[in-house]
Amino acid sequence: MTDVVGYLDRWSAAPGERVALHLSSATPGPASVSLVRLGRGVQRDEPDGIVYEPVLAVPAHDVALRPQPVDAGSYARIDGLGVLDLRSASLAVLVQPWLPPTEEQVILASQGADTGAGLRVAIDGDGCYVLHADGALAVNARAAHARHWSLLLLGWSDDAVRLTIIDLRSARSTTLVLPLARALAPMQSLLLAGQAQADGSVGAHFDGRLERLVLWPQAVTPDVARDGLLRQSGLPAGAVACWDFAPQAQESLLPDCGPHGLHGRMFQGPKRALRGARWSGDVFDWRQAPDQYAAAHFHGDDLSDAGWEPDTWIELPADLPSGAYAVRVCRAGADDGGLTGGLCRLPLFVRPAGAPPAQRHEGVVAVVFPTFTYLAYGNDRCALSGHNPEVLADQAITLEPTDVLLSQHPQWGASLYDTHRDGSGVSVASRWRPIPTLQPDQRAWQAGEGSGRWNYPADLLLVEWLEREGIAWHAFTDEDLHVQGSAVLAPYRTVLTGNHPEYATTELVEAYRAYLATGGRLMYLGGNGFYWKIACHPQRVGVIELRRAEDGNRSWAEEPGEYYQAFDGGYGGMWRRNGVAPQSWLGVGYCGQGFRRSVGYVRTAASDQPQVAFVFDGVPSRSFGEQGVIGGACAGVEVDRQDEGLGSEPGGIRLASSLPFDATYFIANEELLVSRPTISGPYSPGLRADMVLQSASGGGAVFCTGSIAWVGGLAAHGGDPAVQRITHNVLRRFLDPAPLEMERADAH
Amino acid sequence: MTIPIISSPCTVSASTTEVGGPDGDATRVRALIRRFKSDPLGAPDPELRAFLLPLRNLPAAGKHALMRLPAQQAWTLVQLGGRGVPVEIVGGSWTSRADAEWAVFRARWQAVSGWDPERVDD
Repeated sequence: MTDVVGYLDRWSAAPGERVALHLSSATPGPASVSLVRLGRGVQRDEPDGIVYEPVLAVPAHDVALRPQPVDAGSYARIDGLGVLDLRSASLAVLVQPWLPPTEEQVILASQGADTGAGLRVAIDGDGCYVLHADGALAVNARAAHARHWSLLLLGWSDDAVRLTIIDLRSARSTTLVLPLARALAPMQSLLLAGQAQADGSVGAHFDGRLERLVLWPQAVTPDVARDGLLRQSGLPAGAVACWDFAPQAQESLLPDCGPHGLHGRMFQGPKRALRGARWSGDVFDWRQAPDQYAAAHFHGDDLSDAGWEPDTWIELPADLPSGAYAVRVCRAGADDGGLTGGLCRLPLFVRPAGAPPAQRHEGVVAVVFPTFTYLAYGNDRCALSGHNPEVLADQAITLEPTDVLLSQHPQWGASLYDTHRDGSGVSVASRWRPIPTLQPDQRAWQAGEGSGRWNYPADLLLVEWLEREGIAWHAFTDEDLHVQGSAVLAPYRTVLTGNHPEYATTELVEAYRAYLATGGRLMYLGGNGFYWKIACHPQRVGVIELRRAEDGNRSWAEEPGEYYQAFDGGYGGMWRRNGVAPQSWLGVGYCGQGFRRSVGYVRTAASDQPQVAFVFDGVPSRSFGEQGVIGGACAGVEVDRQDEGLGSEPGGIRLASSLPFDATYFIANEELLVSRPTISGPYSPGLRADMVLQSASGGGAVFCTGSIAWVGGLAAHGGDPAVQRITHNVLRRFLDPAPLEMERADAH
Repeated sequence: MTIPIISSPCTVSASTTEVGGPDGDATRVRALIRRFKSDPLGAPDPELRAFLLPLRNLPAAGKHALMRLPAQQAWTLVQLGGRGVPVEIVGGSWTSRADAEWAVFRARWQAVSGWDPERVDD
């Protein structure tokens, strides 16, 4: 098959930058690489696909594709143990297995200098702790309990190896003994949560938590080990090394607080800042009690970096206009029936050149593409392995060929909606891996009836509309705002969000709010925006963390006491639960969802006020938005409403609201205090999309449409003329330097 | 938004699937299948929705679904494998989304009842 997958080293680039392509194809062969600009031109990859035009300033070139493997699964490695005299020694660690249905999972494996053989402690396919030494095997008769902490004490001498397993809940203790015919080879290194494979990869991964690994250069009793691991901090008495799994400023570091500084390294990003065996239950912030949050959770399907070598590069011309682009990688010889059709399109947003200017870009709009949300949904496997998507969709699930390709490659990782194979939630997403479902013409079940455009492909409808309207615009991404702050937006009188800016860091929200506080005008053309708080890894750009804490529509729930993010120490979960409800600065916030049929809007009496007449100029009917390519109309999928109780400005004008939704729509659980039978569309007047115009407290203004499906009305074919006119009217008025009447009122 | 994937699926009761029997329930099920077949993408009434929901809520492994065929502007039938198991392409090609929806129902109903709903009017 000539399937092509890959990733770029950046999703946002400035003109003049060099973009690396990391590519793979199961069958080696040549491919053509080119750059195209999306949203303009006449070419399409599908009859109703996004239009594009080649960027002639970047000549197409060939690349030789090759298969590149992905070694998924987190683990840790400690080297340099050869400096210690470990002929008779003890190693103890706290272990909490989560026991997914897999073959043997290796918790700890030592390697010697000569043969590579050594000790191995694992859990077998029946869930029993096992000890391997010099070709011999001992198996504990009693299976471990999932999610129970145990202390494992491994001791060895010239003639025997002992593994003592202490269940910390029952205090029951078992010891396995293996006699040795010959002394073990001197220990050089340790691998934790995995075992080295013959091909150089690491396999047999352990799924569960590890905490506090301690090494003594002599035999110790179980009581000494208990005391050292559970009651002491730092290096226990008599120990020669002690490794700490608590969060570190350097992501991969596994520090040793012993005198030799035998620091280890973590690979593929195990989850950190988690409750350990020593958690007391009266502390909830890991920064307040690091010893209680010293566990790391390893998963056999963690993936923070595919680590592929770059295959080729694209040099962006210094005068390349800002916009939405894609790198096209096309196998020579056309489609052989593979799932990607021999074609891969990798999204790339090009920022304007140079630093933000001091003066305004008059007449130019900034569009911030919600790339954090694209990443959160990247490699979404819920439709492949969950049974509820079809219930929500209210029709059979339609997969894309790339979804089927994804099902064949579990090693490419999952989305923040998925669970790991041990049932714990996926809370870290990285763009350093193939995400075959992130394509300009990708369709998804969430978009309901119609085009199937969802997230990135739906935002490209906005791009096409801007280009058709001849509106000058510049492209930015969430990552740009996160890193550079509101300075990025300052030159623009008007900023547009994408249709689904659901995931936002503190820095991103602060950038938007600072922009509004200094007179900026924001058009939030979507729904479910600024819903989840996330964190970016402080060193590894392109890696985000989510804690699905406390409340909200969740596909999995964070463990109690683990709501603080490891990456930045912030309290995670919903922005609403962080005291920054989107209603408080946008005017509207998420209230519910449905995934089949969208509905139209109808104007309110408040929309007749003269200061907002410009919004409906040229729109004769009081109802509008009744057609569109996302659910067949423009109010739907995920919707937001005004709510003064959550901070919507009292002076905000609700211009229109959606018509009632059908029984496939349900109010969000954070809107409910008590389960009740009136939560579906026909019974819930509070489940609606509100179109709101309000001033911001610094003189700026916000226009919200309250609906993900709004951009479906901007489509050239199947769109809604009134929605296009309203969007045009507001955008043109927002670009006009004259103060809005409501801005004047706010200034007084 | 959310896509819960860990809640327990509804069960499809035997009385629901025994459509060949002489009792009133079988007659009711035949009537529901006829209604669905006449407009597979229509908005179902509450009774038809209650009939369809347990089928839609079946666990993923072995569940039928569709795959879009972009080049042909058509859909084909697939079967989900569940966690870590590749999707199997069953085959067939429908250019009408409604026909494809019926194809999914037909395959699923045959799997749970052993009875081809295409024969609902026999």
